[in-house]
Amino acid sequence: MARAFLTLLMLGLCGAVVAWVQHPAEAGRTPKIGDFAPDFTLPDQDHRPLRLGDLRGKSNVVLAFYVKASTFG
Amino acid sequence: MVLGISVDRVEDNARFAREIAASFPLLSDTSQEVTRRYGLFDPVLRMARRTTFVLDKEGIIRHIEAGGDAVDPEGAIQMCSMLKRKESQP
Repeated sequence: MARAFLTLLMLGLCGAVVAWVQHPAEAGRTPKIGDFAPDFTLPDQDHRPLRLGDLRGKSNVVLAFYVKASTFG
Repeated sequence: MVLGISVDRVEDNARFAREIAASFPLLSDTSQEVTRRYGLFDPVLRMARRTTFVLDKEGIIRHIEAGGDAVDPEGAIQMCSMLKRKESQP
């Protein structure tokens, strides 16, 4: 009985890990090469609003989405 | 120009900017709206997936690196150099 329970628990944990690894990102379609980058306005670290569209015609842009501040992510 | 973007609060990005002596903006997408619009919101971690886009001056995406590939900036640097060379050509 205990062995069956442990087996089920391990299977459940494995399934959860697989689901976690394979889950798709939410919502919008990730833009592709050749697409216009969707415009936005967001605050920087000094609370100043920055609009991506304002850089058009002025500069190439490297837009780097990172996972979490103060980590390697 | 380099822009960093995450779902962290402004205060957390401000601390991060100091830690790495960032000379570029770190943008806070606390509502996750932009991250979702770019299709990069991870619903389990509730954070952005690491992805780097290189845009030309018209705002068109010319290069993308995702996940582990985005850790090394070399690909993005090379694309930026290529875009600059194209701009300097008559």
